Amino acid sequence: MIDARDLSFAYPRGGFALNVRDLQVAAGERVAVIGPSGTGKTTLLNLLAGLAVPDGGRLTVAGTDLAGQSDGQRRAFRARRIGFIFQNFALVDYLDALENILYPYRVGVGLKLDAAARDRARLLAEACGIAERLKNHPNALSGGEQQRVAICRALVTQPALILADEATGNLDPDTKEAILDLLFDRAAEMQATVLAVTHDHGLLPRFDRVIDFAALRQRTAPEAQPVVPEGRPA
Amino acid sequence: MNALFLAFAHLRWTWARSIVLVLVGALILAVPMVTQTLLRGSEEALTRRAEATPLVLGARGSQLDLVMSAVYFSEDRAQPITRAAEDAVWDSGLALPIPLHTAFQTNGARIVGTSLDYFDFRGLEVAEGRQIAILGEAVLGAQVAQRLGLAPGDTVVSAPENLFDLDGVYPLELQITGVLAATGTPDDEAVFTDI
Repeated sequence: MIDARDLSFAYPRGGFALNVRDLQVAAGERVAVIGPSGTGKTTLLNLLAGLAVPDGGRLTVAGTDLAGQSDGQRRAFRARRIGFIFQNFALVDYLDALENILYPYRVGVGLKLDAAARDRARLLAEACGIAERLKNHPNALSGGEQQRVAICRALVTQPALILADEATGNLDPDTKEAILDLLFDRAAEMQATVLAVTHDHGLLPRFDRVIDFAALRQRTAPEAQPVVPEGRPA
Repeated sequence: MNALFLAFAHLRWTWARSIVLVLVGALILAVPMVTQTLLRGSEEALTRRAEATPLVLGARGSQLDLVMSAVYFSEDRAQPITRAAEDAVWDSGLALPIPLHTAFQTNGARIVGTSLDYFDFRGLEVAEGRQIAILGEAVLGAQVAQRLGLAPGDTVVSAPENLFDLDGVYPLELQITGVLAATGTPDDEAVFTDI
């Protein structure tokens, strides 16, 4: 699903540079990315989503070589193949829950909002336990309900890869577990790969694999040997 | 289509703010348009009346004051000329002279001393009562009659030019015989009497 080799990226104004020698994630895998703030986790997500373009190396996501894509092609790729879940939910306050779930079809390049998409949105909402809340706006929903809406929104386009950036960071412990279960179950149903950035080490046992990003960056320094990050927590 | 849907959803969600914004926007657009329309209307009315007046004859002096007082009954008055000058025009056979004397006023309305030819010239019609027939009678413009609440049978008194000028012109009471139909011109704001 993800194949990154000798990946390098630096922001134009300098200060931060990201180098990843080798990162492989298989289809359907559930991978957690941990590491201190400022190590480039979110930058990695941006590269994987095509929001940023690597300066060098090879980056293939869901069979698409992102480095060779134009801006429009990356937008279309992002709309069709990537689902996002954010810590702050990023819901649109003036749309109700159903329209928030369908939001990718309103703004995504190449996506067509049809009856099948609406049915899929309702089924996802039902599976996530928010079927009765579809007419409510975000400000009338609890944090857990908002994140359920965000999960449905990330999955409604049937993406190949779901990128979650601190998706459970704003939730209480019980809701975190429930949300993660929902995410994994729905992703498994759609055979989607999950790559989640998290600071919550209590959730790591639920992932197939954990990438310590700080260690990954150290080990992929020029003088270091290339490694495939691994380590399933006990 | 999606952009319209999102825009409409946003407007509906923030309806109060949207209404205020729409009103403010409409106001911003309307003020110059309304001002422009009013100005254009006034300009056209002034121009139309000026174009309908072929020639204004007066004493040597400010041409602007002469035209403004003769056509629009403004405060600025030109020096008067004698009736002999009017007779000279009659005698020439070149034009029909219509005398205008706008020195006096009553209750803020200009008293226009003129001949009956003026009513034909401007196309003024009596809407209520009858036309002036003898000296000392007056017909009112439509707005003057409405503003002062006067009708045929009432009287108006001309304002003295100088209260302490014992040798000057004294107020004159005019008998109202009629009220003119509204025309949307300065004639509506005038009181007409024979001279």
